[in-house]
Amino acid sequence: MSIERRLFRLLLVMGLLCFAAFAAVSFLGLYDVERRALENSRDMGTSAAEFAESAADKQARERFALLAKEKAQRIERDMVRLREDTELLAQNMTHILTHRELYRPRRLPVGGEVPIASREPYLFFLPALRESGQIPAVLPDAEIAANGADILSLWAGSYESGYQATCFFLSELGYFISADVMPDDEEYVKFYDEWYTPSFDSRQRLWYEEARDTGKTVFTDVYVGVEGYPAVACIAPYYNEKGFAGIAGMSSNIDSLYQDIAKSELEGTNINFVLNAKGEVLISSEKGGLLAASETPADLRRGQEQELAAQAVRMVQGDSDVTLVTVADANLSHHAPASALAHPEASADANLSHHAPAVGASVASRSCADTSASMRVAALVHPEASEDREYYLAYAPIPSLGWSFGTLIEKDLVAAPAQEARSYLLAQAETFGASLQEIFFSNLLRTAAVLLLLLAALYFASRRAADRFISPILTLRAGVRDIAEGNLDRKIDLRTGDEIGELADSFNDMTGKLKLYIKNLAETTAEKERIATELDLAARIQAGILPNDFPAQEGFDLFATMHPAKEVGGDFYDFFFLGDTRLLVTIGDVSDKGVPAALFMVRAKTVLGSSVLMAEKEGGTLADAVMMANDELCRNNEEGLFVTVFTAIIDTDARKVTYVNAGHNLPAIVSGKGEARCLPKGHDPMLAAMEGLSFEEETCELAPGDSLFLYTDGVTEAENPEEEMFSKEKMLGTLGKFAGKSARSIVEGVLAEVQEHAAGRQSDDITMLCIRWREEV
Amino acid sequence: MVDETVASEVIQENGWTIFALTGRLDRVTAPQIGEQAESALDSCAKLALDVKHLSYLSSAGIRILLRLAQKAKKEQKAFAVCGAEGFVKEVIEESNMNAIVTIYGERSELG
Repeated sequence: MSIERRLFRLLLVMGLLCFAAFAAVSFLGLYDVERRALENSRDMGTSAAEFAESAADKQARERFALLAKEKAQRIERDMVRLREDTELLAQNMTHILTHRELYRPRRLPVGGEVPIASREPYLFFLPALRESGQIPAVLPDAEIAANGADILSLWAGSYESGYQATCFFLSELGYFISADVMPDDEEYVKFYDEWYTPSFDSRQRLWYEEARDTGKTVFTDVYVGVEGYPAVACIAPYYNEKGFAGIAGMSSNIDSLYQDIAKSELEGTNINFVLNAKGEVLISSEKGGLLAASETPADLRRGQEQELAAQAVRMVQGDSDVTLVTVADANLSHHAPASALAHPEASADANLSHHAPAVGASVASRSCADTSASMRVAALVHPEASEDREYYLAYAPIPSLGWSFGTLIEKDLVAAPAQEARSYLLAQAETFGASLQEIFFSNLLRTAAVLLLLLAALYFASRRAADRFISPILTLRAGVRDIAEGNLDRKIDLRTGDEIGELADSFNDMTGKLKLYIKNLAETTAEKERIATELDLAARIQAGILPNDFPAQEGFDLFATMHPAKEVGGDFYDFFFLGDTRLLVTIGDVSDKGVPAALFMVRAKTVLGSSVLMAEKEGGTLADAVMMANDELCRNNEEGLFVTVFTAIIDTDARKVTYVNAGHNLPAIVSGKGEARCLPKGHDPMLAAMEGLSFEEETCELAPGDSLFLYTDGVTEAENPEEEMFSKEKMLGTLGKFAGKSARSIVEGVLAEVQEHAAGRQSDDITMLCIRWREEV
Repeated sequence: MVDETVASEVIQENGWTIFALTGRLDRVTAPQIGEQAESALDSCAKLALDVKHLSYLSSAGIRILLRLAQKAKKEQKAFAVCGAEGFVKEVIEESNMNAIVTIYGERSELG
């Protein structure tokens, strides 16, 4: 993979990672916001709903309390007025009877004898009075009492038409004075047959007795008049100078009250009812159930509904409150329309039937129907499965009557709007959540789109960055290739100021140095060639120093050769005649190779040669000559070079060899038969090593056919690639093979063997000198 | 290359500083051993070269021995060669060095 690709990938991956992190963060942020907002909106919805519910509850309680209070007050107001009116009647009659002197007797039409118009006061005698024949006795009293007729007609006149009403005085003496309001004002007052039966005596009614005995104003229970309108009567006692004289009464139509109670304030869902002091339901909007008014009223306080009973106790006590009660649905049956109560089919109340006949014809007529049943019979349980429900019960007292007004409404109905509000709010919250989610997703989408765009931008930017980054490298590569192909003049022009620029500079630097080096190398090579040439020249000169005019005479022949390991060597040989038969032969080996050795070799050869000549001239021995040469060579030998030398003076005729061996390899003697051996003696130190040494001469005699073979260690120490030396033994063996051959043949033969052994390698100078004596014939 | 062909171990024994040489002492290795031995001779009174394990001794090696002998003589110190065997012994004998350098047979013979 190329660096550009790698770089590109790296940038891309880094960018992607950054983007991924950014995307993750923004997604999480968005998600968090969404989640929180959703939770908050739900919480808000819930709390708002709860608030609405509690507000509804509070409002409902206030409203119902107010409702109960208003209704109770209204009943109270009506009843107080009725009582006041009744008491006024009673007071009026008491005043008349206690102030008879102020009144004149007055005659009233007698009911049953003449037609009596509506609102017209009349006199009526109870059957008991008529039968007793005491009418004339009570008549004066009745005629005085008749003065109350004015107030009766005044009172009766205040009643609006359309209802049956009556205002009356019922005397203890057995007559009553009454003004009846007929529903139709054109109608005459009706006198029923019953009114003439002996049993008809209103004085025996409970309310009469109660008013008489207690001296208090009393109310009758509610009863339904003959027209079917519910009514209540108020009874107050009046007195004469002797005491109790009768009662004043007013029956009041309470239809509007009824209507009011039965009215469904809350779309027919509430139950209104009035409880009397005995805990019985007196008036109700219900036709059935516990809270309906019944012919056989039950004490609600002892009812089966515990909670309702508990509240009934408080109601009877005259408390007012709004509370929640749980009542079995089946015990209420509040769904039937309350208006049924007001319908004429209903007959007179059982209670009323006791006193109505005593009041007047119109009231008495109702009692006929009282056998037919109660106001409402259907106080029966609904057949449906009973279910406990919660109801608000609001009640307020009607003090003057000792009654209590109550209203009952199902809680769920009250809470319904709140529930609705709740579900609305929750729905709103959901909607809000949904729209939030929509916003969230659209945001997500937008973010993704932006990210995609950025990604595309990143892709191109990465590519471009990689290109820009890599282009100097490509330039560098091109330049380096050019340089590699040998164009050292090429300069790489890169001014990036970074490492690549430095690399380019380094390359330029290197090219410069390479050029310089090549130039130096060329110079050095030239120099080397010059030196080589000179060395070659030196080698030829050295070769020239060594004698090559090899003597070949009748008795012997001589051959020598010197092969330097380098161009010039440290080995040398020498031979020259000191006389006709006296031949000096020398072989030497300077302890080094190369130019220094060559120079020292020249010096050694010259010094040695001249020393021998000097010794000859001065009559000295060979040993003297060597000693002189040693001392001479030791001088100015700072380099510490030394030279091993074998030098001999040979009587060529006598084959007598006189020699000095200064540290050199002892030469070999090869017999004509091929036996080769080294000279046994001659152990003096090498020359130039130490001054003032003395040397000893040795002698030996050779036989005809023998050869004397001088060599340097370059022969015996020539190594083959296995680093095995040619060795003296092998040399002697080789010499044996060439026994009897010419000196040249021997030398060349040994050389060939040595070269073969060394296989082209040569580490030391190889020098040989051979003298061969011919066999004597 | 140099280290492969010659190795030296310095031993202090019986008052002598002994260079025990192993390998070849020729023109290639001689300068290095020569320098080491010469500097050793500067800091000791008695220097010996144990050539028992030397397999080859060339004239360059001989030259080192001679130079050390000359230096010792000049500085009035002792220099000796010991343990020569086989080829090396032959070379030493042939070069007739015994007039210039003290030769001992074995290291234990160093006095």
